[in-house]
Formats: sequence, C-alpha cells, structure tokens
Amino acid sequence: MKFFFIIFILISHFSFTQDAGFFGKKNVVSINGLGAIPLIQNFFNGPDSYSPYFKNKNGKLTPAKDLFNGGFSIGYSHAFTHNFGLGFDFVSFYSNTEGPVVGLYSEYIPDYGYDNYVSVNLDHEALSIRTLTFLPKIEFQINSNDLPIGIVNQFGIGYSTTKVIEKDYIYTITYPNPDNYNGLENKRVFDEKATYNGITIMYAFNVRTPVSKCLLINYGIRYTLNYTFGGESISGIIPGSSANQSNNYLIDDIEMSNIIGKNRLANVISLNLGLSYLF
Amino acid sequence: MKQYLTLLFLALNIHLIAQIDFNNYKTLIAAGEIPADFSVQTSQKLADDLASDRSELSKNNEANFLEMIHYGIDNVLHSGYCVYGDPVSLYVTEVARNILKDDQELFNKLRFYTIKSNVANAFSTDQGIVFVTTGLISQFSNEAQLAFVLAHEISHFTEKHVVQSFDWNMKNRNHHDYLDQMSTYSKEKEFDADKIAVELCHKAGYSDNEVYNSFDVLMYSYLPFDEIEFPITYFNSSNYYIPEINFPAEKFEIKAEEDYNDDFSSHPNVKKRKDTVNVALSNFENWKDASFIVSEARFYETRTISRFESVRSDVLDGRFVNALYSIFILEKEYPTSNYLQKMKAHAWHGLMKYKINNQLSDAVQSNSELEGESATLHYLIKKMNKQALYTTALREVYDIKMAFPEDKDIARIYDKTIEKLITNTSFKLEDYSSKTFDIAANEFIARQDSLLNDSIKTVENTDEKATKYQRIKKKKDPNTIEGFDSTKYYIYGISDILIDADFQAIVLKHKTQFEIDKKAEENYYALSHRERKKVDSEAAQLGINELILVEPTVISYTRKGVDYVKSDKLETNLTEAIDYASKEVGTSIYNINRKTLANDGTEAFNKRNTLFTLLSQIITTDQNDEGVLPIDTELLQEIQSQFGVSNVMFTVVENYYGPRLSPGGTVGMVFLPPFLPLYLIRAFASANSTELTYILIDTEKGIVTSANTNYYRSPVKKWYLRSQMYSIFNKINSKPQ
Repeated sequence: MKFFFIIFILISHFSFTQDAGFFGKKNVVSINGLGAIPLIQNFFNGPDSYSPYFKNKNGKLTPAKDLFNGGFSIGYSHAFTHNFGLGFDFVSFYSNTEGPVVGLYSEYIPDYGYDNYVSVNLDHEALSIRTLTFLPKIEFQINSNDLPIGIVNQFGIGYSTTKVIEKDYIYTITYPNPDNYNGLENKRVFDEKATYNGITIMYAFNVRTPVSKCLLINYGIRYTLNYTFGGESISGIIPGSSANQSNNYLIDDIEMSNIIGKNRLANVISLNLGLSYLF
Repeated sequence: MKQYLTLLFLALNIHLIAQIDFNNYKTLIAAGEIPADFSVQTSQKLADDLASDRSELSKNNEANFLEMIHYGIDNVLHSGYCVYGDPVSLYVTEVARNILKDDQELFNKLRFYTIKSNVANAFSTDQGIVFVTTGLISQFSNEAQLAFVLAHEISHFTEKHVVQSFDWNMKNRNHHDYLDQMSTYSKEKEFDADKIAVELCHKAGYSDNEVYNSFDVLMYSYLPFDEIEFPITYFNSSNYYIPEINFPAEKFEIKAEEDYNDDFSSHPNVKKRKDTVNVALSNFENWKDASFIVSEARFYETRTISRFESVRSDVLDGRFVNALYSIFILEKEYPTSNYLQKMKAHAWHGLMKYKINNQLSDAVQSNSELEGESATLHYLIKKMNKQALYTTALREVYDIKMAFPEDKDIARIYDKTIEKLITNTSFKLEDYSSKTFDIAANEFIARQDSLLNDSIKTVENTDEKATKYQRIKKKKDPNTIEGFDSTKYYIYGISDILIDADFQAIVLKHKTQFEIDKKAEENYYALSHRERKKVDSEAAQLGINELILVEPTVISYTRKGVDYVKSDKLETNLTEAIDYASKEVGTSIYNINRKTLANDGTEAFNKRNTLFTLLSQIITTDQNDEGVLPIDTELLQEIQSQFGVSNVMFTVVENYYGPRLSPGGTVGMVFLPPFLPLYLIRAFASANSTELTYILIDTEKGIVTSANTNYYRSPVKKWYLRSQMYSIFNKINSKPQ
C-alpha cells in the first residue's frame, strides 16, 4: 500500500507537460458517497425464492427487501497530460446479503460407528457485509482535454476484502428429524471473523464540475465486476469425528464465500456524489 | 440656414477631395463620430426592436427575424471591412440625398456605409442601412449607374422586401417545391425594386441610357474594372526581357451572356432585368441626360479610391495576379504612386511564396476561367517555371526598391524576397548570367553568323583541344556563347542585381543565417524524444506579459443553428474569465472590443479593423506558418506606439449543445438495462462540445507566435474558461529557465 502511494507521489513530480491541470493543479483528492439500489439481489431473493431475504423486526425474522447499499470512497489522482492520469481509490462499501439457508452438521451414530451428515434448513437474518477495496486506476478523457476536471473516465483493477459485520444475527433452524436434536443452537452458524478476498474490475464515468479554484463537485456512475475467491474449509465438518468434537460452525467458509461472492457479483452499479480538492 | 449648412458641408467635402494623395495612398478608415449602428450593442438593438410592434410578422417569427437581422448585420458592420464617414461613404450618401431630395423623411431613415471588398455588391437591410462595396464602385462608369443601384437598394427598404421574404420563407419552407418557389418569389422582388428605382432615377434627373447600362456593370463585374490590353513588352527593360513566345497567341474571349439560366438564382438574369427596365423606362417621359449630378470630380475620385482599395483587397486575399493587373491599369495615371508600387512588391513576393509552396493555383485563374485582357497576365505567370517566376519577382521587387530607396516597407519586402530565395534550394545564383539577354543574344547571333560564313575547319581548329567534358561545361555555363538559351530568358534578367553590393550583403546575411538554422535543425533531430519535448516546451515559453486582446468571441450552436443571443451572453463569461486569468498570471491586457466602442470611439474602431485585417491576411495567405508582410504597417505601428506592445491575441470559443441521444442507442439500451443509466448520464453530460482557440500574433513581424485549439466536453462556464485561459496565459507568460 505504502509502496503504491510513494510511487504516485514520485511520479507526480515528473509531469510530462506543464500545461495540464486546472489552474496548473494536477492532483486531486476526492471523497465520494456511493449508493446503489440492489435490484438484482431483490429480484433473486424474494420471499418465495430459495434464499429469501429476512430482516430482524422486533426479534422476529420478517421477509423484506434490501433497500439500499452504500459506502464511500477516498481517492487520489494525478493528471499527467491534458487527458490522462493515474490514481487510486480506497473504497468502503456496505451491503446486505441473504443469510445462509442450509446448514450441515455431522452426527456420530455410535451403533454404526460413523458420522451421519445431516442437513438442516435455516432462516437467517440478512448478513451485513463490508467490503474494503484498494483500486489503482487510470483516468482518461475522450474528445476532451481538461483533466482533472470535466468528464473523466476511470478504469481500475483492485483487490478487495469482505467481512461480515459482527452482530447478533437471529435465525431459526428447521430439523429434518426433531427427535435427533443435538443441541445445534449452541453451534455458531458461521465464522464471523473470516475475511473473503477478491478482485474488483471497475469502470466509472464521472463528471467533475469546478466550483472554485480548488474545489470540485463530482458525480457519476460506477460499474464494478467483483469476484470473490473461494474459501477453505477451515472450520467445516471434520469427517470421522464425533459430534462432540467437531463442527464448530454449521456453515463452512466455502459456502460463506459463495454467499458473499454472489452478493458482490450482483453489486454491479452504484452512483457516486462527492467533493474533490485540487492542489 | 439649411442651405448655408449644406454649402458648408459640400465645401468641407471638396476640401477632403484635395487631400487624397494617390501617390501616397492610405487605406480607407472610418472618420467622425461613431454612429449608433456601430456603438450600440446588438442585444440593446434587439431589445429596442422587440419592444416595438412588427405587425408584418407573428410574435414567434418576429423574435427570430429580429435576432437574425440584428446579429447578422452587426457582424457585417464589425467584420473589419466596413467603414463610415470615409470619402466613399460620404459621396454615396450625397448621391442618395440627391435621389431622395423630395423625400427627406425617407433619407433621414437611411445610413450608407462602405465595405472594403472586391465582391461587386450592394445590399440594404431592414434597419435602413445600405452597404456598397468598393468592388462595385470601382466598376461604375458614372454617377448615374451608382444612383440606379442605390435607388434599387432603397426600394428594397421602402417595400420591406427583407421582412416579406423572411415571412414567405417561414410559411413555405416545408413546401415540396420550396426552392423553385423561393427563386420565383425572390426574382419578383428584384423586378419590383428595379421598377421603383427607375422612377427614382427619373425624378432625380439621371440619364435613362445610363440606368439601362447599369446592368452591363453587373454582368461584367466579375472582370477587372477595366479591359486594357496587357502589352507583351510590359516587363521589358534594359535589364530584363520576356520573349513574345511566353505570351498567349490569341486573346481570351469574354464569355458572359445576358440570357443565362437563372432557374436557381435569387436574381433574374440580366436580359430579363433589362427587358423589364426598358418597359419601365418607357413609362416615363422627359428623361434628363445627366450622368453626373452631385459631382463628376468626386465620382472619379471615389472610383479611384475604390480601385486602389481593390488592389489592396486582392493582395490581402492572395489574388496577386488580379492585383498586378489592376496596378498595371492604375499605373498609367499614377506612375509614381508609392502605394501602387508597394502593393506590386507585395504581390510579387506573394506569388513567389505561393510558387515555392505549390499554391500558385490560389493566385492564378484556371484555364476555364481565363477571360479578357487580364487573362494574358494570368497565362504568362501560370506558364512560368519556378526559376522564371522567382527571377521575375526578384527583378520587379529590386526595381521598386531602386525607385523608392527610403521606403522601409519596400526594403523589408526586398529583404524577405531575398531570404525566401536563398533558403530555397531551387534558386542558385551561379545559374545566372552576368550578361543581359540582349548582349548574350547578340553574341550568340554573331557567332551563328560566323559559323555560316567561316569554314568548318576554322571553327574546329579553335576548339580542337577541348575535351568532351569541357565542351559540356561550356554549354551549361550561362556566361558563354555556347551556353546561350533563349528559352531561359530569366537567367539573363538579374545581371545588374548580381553585382549590387547591397544585394550581395543581404544574400550573405541570409546564407549565413540559413546555415546556422540548418545546423540547429540537425542538432534538434539528433536529440532524444524527451529532450526534444523539453526544447519544444521551452520554445513555447514566450515571456510575453503584455498584450492587446481583441474582442473575445463566443459562437454558440444548437441543432437549429447559431444562437446569437446565447453567444452574446456567453461572451461576457469569456471576457470575465480572461480578465480573471490574466490577473492570476500577471499578464497585462489592453482591450479592443466592439462592446466598448460607445466610449472608445472611432479610433478604437479603426484599430480593431486594422487588427482584423492582419488576422485575415494571415489566415488567407499564410498557410505554411511562415508569416506575412503586413499591408497596413503604418496603422499597425500606431497601435504598437499607443499600447507599447506588438503582440495581439484573438480568442474564439465555439460551443455546440446537443445531448448525444440516438434512437438506435436508446432502444439498444432498453435491452441492456444495466447500461441505460450510463448511456443517459453520458448523453447529457457530454452534450457540450467546446473548442477554445487562441491566436497570438506579432504585429511587427507578421507572424503567428503561438496558436492552439483546445477541445473539451464542458459548458462555456466561468471556472472552465478561467482555467483554460489561465493555462494559455501561463504558457505564453513563462520564460525558459
């Protein structure tokens, strides 16, 4: 991180032309609010879908829709020429995803001497997730020559890390055979400390409107393609062990990474609005 | 009292006549108090007119019409070519006064201005302004012909043809037969104006024959203002000779016809107009026979002024051969005119430049255009090869320099001509003979005679020891009898110039400089790409912190065309942005702007015209960015003295607003809904296309010091403009470290 930062600062001293910039200023620091209406997620997570979306209303799970996802970004860029620049963004994005729906636990059958894998259905409160992304980017203009202001196209590839926000999520378990109750309520559903990494490819169309010699208002639209790497089964079922020892979590991190990955993939479009400072 | 004032006015004008010195002619400039037509801002004129009722038009059309005429005509008034209070405008006004001597009220509504242009035209406007070009006046034979044209234009005004035509266009523009009907409608208006003009001329006392002959003026106005045979001995002197064979063997026919096809013309052809006018003439009896009523002397003086302006216009527009022919005609009466000879030097220098840059077709007529006596000169110059033209140019400019040794402008043209030749590889002094054509030819003829008379053996004996290669060299040497070539008449044309010490000194100066420049260029191309960029960047840093700013202009377009009202308003943004940016950078600006003419007056108006003329000269004739020799050096020097700077900047912003939506794109995005928001945001955010162009000219050297056009997709708003102008001023203000 620090390495990238130093590189950009050094490069900013070796500008290729003295004419680029807004009043000669070529460096931009931006703070933007991001917002998205999760239409895709709502389409796939309706009350009758395989993985419905539940909210916690007065301690009860209630089918609902995810109304808004949002976050903020802080970025820096440097205009090297009239229409080309480099920069990076730190993005913190909060979204909500449907909870896990199928849990798996192993049950040791003493008479038979093996583990019986039993799946249970879950109705789980929607998970709040937070994704941090570091995104180096290029900025360019087409048919325009007034970077860093005006219409700015941005393209970047970055690294993201997603985590479920820790809180007391409520859930209910439906057992296939209630007589075989094994105290699953004592189990934790998933590892809340796990992080899920991935890659983000971003294209953004921004309009930077100057309102003073060093202040810009920016607004625009951002498209991201988010891919989450698969998890390892760090805490899932350990075959051959007894129920007393194994299965710290009902849901292993492979399944969690799938859930988060689907949500991240569905977060394609967001709008941004913010301020930039030029120096 | 009125008669006394009239007499006083006429006396003053007679005094003016005596002051026109055609030997030291100065181009027409505006004089007297600046009229409201020039000083009142267009937006104000529009607002005043909108407040009054125009019953001929609907409210919607009225706004469009008034916007069109006010902005359109004001662009003519401020084009840099229009003048007021000058001798031509004053005389034209007097002729109009005579035509309308029984209608003072109408006369008081009209104003008459001159346009310095070789386009032979006159036109009137809805506002009551009548423009006449110097190109047209130079063609007239007498005052009566001018009077008829003025009467015709006045008739358009009294009959409100401009507004009627606009109204007709608005109602019929979507008709399937629009073009045909428009042509017919327009011609009817011309016939009407001709008939009324006949009546006015009859009342004024002009000759009916001359009214009828006016149409000959219009028919042949595309030709020079006179048809005088160009003699094949024109260039011949003791030092120069162009053989007859280089001139056309036959004359070029004048092809103009009266009864040409006018189907797609707004005006009827000459025959139809003559027939109509003939009938109109016969409706009146007791025609007077006057060709001149106001003043014969003033007519000829005004016409001469117009002809001198015609030469100037041709030089400015790069029509150098036309200029030379006109000078040839005028020289007969003004053989010692410094002005004409200076224009001639300009024209030959220009021709030489054009030939070097392979642009000669811009200055000479094509074969299909060759008509009349001037075609001889076009033919001759077109036929000249490079060396012939260079030599002729040098010869002419040198002779003019000898005739006017103290004239600095001519000296500068001479210096530049030599510089241009020396730096061009086709021109080599060693190719030229030290003998004149006569001497070389006589020697050659004498030798030929001796060959005929003497025995072959004798001739061979004198040459028998020379080798084959020596004989070849002799034949190539222009100073030998063997080397004489009558087709290369030009190599014998500068024998006296070659031995001129001043010429030799100038040649040496430019040769030395050329070698230095060549070495610098070689060094430049030996640099790495990065080093070259650094050199280029430093070269762009001019260290200019003071300049004259001429009238920042904004042209705002929409899908319907130019939005003049918006353009006017946006100019305020641009002016303010320039002011702001110049203060930020520390550049001093001296403004010349038509919006402040009410305070600055005629002097500022003339300065503005002079600078626009220089800009026009550069744009028209300097396509290779080599610089021009300014025509109006005295006027430019006055400007330089007043402001203390020689750098002038012009800025133009062009903006087009149109959301980038297409039916195909919109429908396509419906099938790709995730991209629909991007498509819409992009369509409206990118709706502005803006170009900001600036040109910085050194008025002393006649070169463009710096110029650039920047494109951006942003509106013409304050901070965008301020930043752009800041970059420009910063660039030209910086000095290399």
